[in-house]
Amino acid sequence: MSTSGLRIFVLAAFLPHLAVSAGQEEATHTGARENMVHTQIEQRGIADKSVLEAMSTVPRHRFVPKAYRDRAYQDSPLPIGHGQTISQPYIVAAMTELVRPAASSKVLEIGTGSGYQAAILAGLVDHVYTVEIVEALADSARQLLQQEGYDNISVREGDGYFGWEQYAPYDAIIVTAAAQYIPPPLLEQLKPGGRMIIPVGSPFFVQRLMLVEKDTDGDISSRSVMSVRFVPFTRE
Amino acid sequence: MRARLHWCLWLVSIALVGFQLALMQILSIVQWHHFAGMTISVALLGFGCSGTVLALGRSWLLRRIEFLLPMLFCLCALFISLSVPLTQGLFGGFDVYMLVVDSRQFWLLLLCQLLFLLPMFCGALAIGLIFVSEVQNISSLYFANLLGSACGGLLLLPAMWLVAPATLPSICALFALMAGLLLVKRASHLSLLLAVLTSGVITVLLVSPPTLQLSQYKGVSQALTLPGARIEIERFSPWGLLQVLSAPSLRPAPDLSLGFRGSVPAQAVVFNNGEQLGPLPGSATSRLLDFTPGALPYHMAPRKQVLVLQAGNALGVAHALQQGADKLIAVEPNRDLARLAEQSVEPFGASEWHILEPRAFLAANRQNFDLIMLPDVGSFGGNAGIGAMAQQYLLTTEAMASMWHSLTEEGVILITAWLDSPPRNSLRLAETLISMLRSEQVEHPAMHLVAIRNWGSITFLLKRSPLTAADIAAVRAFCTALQFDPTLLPGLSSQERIRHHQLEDKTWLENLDTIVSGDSRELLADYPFRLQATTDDRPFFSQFLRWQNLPELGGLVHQRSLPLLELGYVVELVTFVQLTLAALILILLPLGTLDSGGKTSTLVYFGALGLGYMFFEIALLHQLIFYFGQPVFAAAGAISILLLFSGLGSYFSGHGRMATLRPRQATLLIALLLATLAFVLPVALSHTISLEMPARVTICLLLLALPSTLMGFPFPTGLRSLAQSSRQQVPWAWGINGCLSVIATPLAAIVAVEAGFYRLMLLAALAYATAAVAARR
Repeated sequence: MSTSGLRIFVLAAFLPHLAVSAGQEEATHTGARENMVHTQIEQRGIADKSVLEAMSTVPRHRFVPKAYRDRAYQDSPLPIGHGQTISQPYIVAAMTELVRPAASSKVLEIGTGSGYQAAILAGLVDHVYTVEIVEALADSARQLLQQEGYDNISVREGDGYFGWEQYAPYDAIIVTAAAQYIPPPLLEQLKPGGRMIIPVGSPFFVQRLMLVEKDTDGDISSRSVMSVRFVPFTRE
Repeated sequence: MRARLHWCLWLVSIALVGFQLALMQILSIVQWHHFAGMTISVALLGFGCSGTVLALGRSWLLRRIEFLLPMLFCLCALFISLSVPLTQGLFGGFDVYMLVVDSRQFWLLLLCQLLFLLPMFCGALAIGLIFVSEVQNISSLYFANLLGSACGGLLLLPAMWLVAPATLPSICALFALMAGLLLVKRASHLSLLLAVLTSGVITVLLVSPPTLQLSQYKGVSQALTLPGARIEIERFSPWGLLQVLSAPSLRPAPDLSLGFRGSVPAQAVVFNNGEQLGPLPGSATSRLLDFTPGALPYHMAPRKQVLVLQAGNALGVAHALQQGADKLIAVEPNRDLARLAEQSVEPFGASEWHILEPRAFLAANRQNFDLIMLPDVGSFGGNAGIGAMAQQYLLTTEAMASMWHSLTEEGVILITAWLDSPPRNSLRLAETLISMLRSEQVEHPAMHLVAIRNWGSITFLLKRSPLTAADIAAVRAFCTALQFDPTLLPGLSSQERIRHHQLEDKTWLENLDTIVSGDSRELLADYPFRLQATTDDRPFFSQFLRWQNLPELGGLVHQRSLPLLELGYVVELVTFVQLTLAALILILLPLGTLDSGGKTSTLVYFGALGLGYMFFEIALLHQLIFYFGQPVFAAAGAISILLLFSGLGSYFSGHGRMATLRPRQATLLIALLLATLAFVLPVALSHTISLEMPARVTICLLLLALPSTLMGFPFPTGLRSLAQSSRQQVPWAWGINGCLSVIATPLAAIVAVEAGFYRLMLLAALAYATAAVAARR
């Protein structure tokens, strides 16, 4: 037997094991995901069945860097490089629920990051348009989302300040990174009656979510949504 | 040989103190300064470790002292120069925030601390060896040690302007290397080789210093990921690394109204130590600022005389000038930032800049202003209490009173706080303002206070004279036009307060009303966080944590609800616990090897000296920051004066007529002097703060000369006296003093937060009184 033949033989001998091992890994992740949805999301008051379904379906671990994959379903944000994070699962669920996604909705996301939030939305709405300013993140998210078979997500590398005028107006806008002000073009691209959600806080410590609403007359108002509960201390 | 040892002590002390300051600077740039403090505190345990090693292996080490000393000095130099290149890779992967999600980060932190401990240990072991072997000459040796430490601070300060931060450790290493070279003998090939190797490493690092890798979560790192981002200006100074960054997509417009419909142009942004200070004024500045809550005072009345405190990036200065200010005074303590800002506002009109701490300016000020502006409180979205231990002298009741007295009849104080969750900044700010008004015996505080709310901030406006109907109407019109909600204003309806920006938690408004009503006692007692007004004695505005809530906070960490955690204070507590445990081990380890007599007395005496000296140093710093108006110079100046006089005291403790002073007499005298100073110093300094600098320096020297000189006595006299009764305990005593001095730093911060600086000074006196009791006859 030639050396290359031996190599092929050895590889073939191991392949079933590899397949079993990958299958076991997926099963482990599925279990962890179900547990995440139940303990971190449902128990904290997220009731929208379609949101819970999306959170149960999207494989979060594939959107997390390999080094942190074993922590993909933990109750925390994780680093994805370039000073960015993939948000805590609960925050993703809360933001999704707050924009009230409908099957016919067109949603704009500012800050694609890993692509996880877009993937969650993709299962709930008609189309997701997502803009990412960091070229490397936009490229990797685009590639991953294609690989995962999402055909209703459009990723664009660009400055989120301008939104994505070509497909405006949007039923909902999700800004995934904290912003000290809301760019006027985004307010303009929001449909009357539409909702925009913005997290407020530093990368690993989202403290609250801000909901910005545009009424049918085009008037803008904001609402502070205390997604991260303020647990009052008991004093004796 | 003896003269050489003195020179060696002087040189290595310069290196070690310089290295601490350099490290503080570097770690503040690449990470956050609280972690810098924590890391350096642990590294300083090297002094305690050296005492333990000396106590355990005294005879072995003393027999090889001639070989060991040059080796230790060279190793100290080598480790100092390599500390930054070695830890940069580690800290590149380390981040304070990631401690929450990644347990590996704890090990990285520990490894970095150990790498910084190595040079301290080598240097301290060499110093300890010299002290133990030449204990009969301890007075002059300790003098050389203290003099070197004083020089280290004074030399490194100008160096921070001249060389890049990454080069500073190599410069410090040169001094330790010189100490080694003084003692290297041609016959010792190993030490010669080490000296040559160290010289080579230092030369390479001086020529090509390592590149500092900032945390990827720092503002400047994130801004640099933007396409086309580039650093336009970069300056280093004792204030830190100042950078101006521009990018086509960098469009800062903090606190902009939701009603703004124009375009926000790209603007250059200023960063200090990687943290955003804000945009530099540009052509669109006024147009944007007119749509922020900060425009309110100009809608109520013209503001001709304007004072901008801690003017920073000069945005407020530019706005006031565009709004027609005739006389504009800007106060900014950071010289480089002030110059940069002054240049950027030149196109807007004339402004007068004072490079000074704002409180020092207010103390000497005799002018009245139509508008006094303060920098924003907190940071956007909260910051998990990273700055909890920062002393904010501009946000105390005394500071507010100074501003109140500097207002014209129609004058206003303007201050914006970013809203945090759970609400803390806004409530404490309201409490501080109302406390000041009450102490000024203002009859109806609510008639002087306005607050308006944007979606992420609250802006307070405090008017010297009661609000008129025209003022109230102007506030309402401004809010309606710009979609802000009036939050505090006489005659408001509840619906008006949440018209544009609704709140899920209405208790915040109720709590604000309770504070403004003046009946906040119950609220302050029951609220889960501290909201008491801050004072000059306890100027920790961002410290909200209550001790009794710590166990519950532990539970919240488990639930990943860390936003509620006051990280800065917890870091200080963790540092204290970590150091105390390590110190306990280091102190107890050699116990079995020591002879039995008087160990408790040694422990208490040298431990109390370590605590007392550091407590006094930190309490003194607090007083002098005000007095000289420049924290960096106050720190360097005060510590150097203290060390210099203590060095002289140490010298006199072995020479001349003062040598007859016994440890017990000296410590008792110091205790009495410090207790007196606790009362006298604040009064003397506050009455002379408006004098010219030479007069203030003279007063300071007069007040501090005697106690500082005396504080140089107890350690050498105690060590000499100990050597007579138990020579074995001398290195142990050196270690105890080192350990307790290190523990004293976080402990002093905790005492200052919990009890105030005045009591910290009294505790320093108490520590010396304890030493007097424990002193050997």
